[in-house]
Amino acid sequence: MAFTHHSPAELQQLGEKIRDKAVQVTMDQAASYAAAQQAANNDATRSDTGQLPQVQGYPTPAQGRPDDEDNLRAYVGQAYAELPAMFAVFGLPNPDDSRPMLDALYSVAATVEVDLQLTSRDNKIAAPSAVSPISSTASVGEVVDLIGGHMKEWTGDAALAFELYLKNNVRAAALHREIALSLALSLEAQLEINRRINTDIWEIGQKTYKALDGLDAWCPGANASKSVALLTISGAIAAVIFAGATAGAGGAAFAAAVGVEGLQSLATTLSNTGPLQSKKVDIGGLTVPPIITGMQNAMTELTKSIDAQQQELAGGLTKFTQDVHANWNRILVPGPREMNDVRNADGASLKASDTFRVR
Amino acid sequence: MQGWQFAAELSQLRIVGRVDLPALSSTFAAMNRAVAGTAAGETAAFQAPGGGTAASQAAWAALRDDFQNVLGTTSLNILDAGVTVEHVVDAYLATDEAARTSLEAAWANGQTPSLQEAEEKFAQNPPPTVVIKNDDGA
Repeated sequence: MAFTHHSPAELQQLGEKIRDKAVQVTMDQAASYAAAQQAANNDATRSDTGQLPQVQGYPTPAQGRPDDEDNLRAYVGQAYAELPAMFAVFGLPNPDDSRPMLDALYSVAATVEVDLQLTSRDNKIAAPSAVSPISSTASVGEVVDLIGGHMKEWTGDAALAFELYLKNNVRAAALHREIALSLALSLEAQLEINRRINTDIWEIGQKTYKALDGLDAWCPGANASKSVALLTISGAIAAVIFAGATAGAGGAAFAAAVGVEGLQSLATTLSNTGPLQSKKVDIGGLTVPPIITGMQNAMTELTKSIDAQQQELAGGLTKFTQDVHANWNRILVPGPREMNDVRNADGASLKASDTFRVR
Repeated sequence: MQGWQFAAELSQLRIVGRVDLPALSSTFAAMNRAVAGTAAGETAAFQAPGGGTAASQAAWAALRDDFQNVLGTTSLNILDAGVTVEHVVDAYLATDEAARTSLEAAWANGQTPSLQEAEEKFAQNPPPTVVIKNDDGA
């Protein structure tokens, strides 16, 4: 299913809609009304005796009883005042706006080596649109081959060390490609986490509203409302590595999973992630309070799962970076010492030595 | 070897130092700048609920910075190698007047003799600047 981004403003509006619905149902549904009356009376007692009321900052009304209609409406409104902010806090920038970052990384990988795995695209998970090499760049391997041709009559310690240096840079380019793809893959995973946060918080809101709406029926007090939110966040990384297998991310995962000698790919490290999972969270009840509690439980579950996914991604990246550092001299090829020796040599010295000469 | 024959070999070496290595350096510089450009979207991509930063951001940015520096340093190293190769050509020319005359005639008026077809497409401009990240991220 294609991703639809809900802006922070839309999440705020959803929270406001749920807040208004919660107040309205509380005032209309007998069981919820009675529960609210009891809660208001209890909080008034707490407030009067210097205890902390359950609805923070609730003062005993100056006029009328805590449980009469107007005071109760104000109490319930205060009780649910935080609902919009609870949704808005999950607001994130649209992950699809980060596509230029992915395109840049894929184009770097393609500059090192054009890869047919990276040519198709799909709109479920961000896929590369710029899979061709960066314009006006020369192929590393091709240039090194050309240099080999120009230098075929040259020999000596420095000349040979220079040619070896260039060949080592060609080998390094394979590692560079691996790093570019791993950066792209981890960014794909990060963006997929963000997509699923957005999808899941919207799902929680919709199912909460549906549950409240279920109480708001023809027969007051007679109906229990059932609603289940399906949270997808726990499968975010797995979707990018495996199940998503959409053209771009799947291609990157496959290409990166192949890896190169001595450097375990990030895709391989992250492939130990759990399988694609969706978690069901009940949001329902006979009155408004348990529905709101179910909503909060779902939000807590979402937050815990976000943390778990983030830890997994950060751990994978850290391990991959350690591998990169362990292979540092293969990735950043040091300039040949022998070339330094000829840097300031004059022609007579060059002729006299065996460092850089025609065969 | 000396004279025009030596000039022919020195011309091959000059192509390496003046055309091929700058082109190779330019490729790595372009990749360096493409990777550096990802920093612009980093804050949005790694924003966490509540306005904080996602736990994976630090590791991702550290790897990205390392990679950016590898590409930038490789670009500079290759450019530096080109300077050394050109120095070798110039040092030899200083010892052989006939070779110098022959080589400069072949390279006169902006000509680059014996270029392969692929090399004719290489940009003749100086490689673009690279962006190196310091340890403090600057």
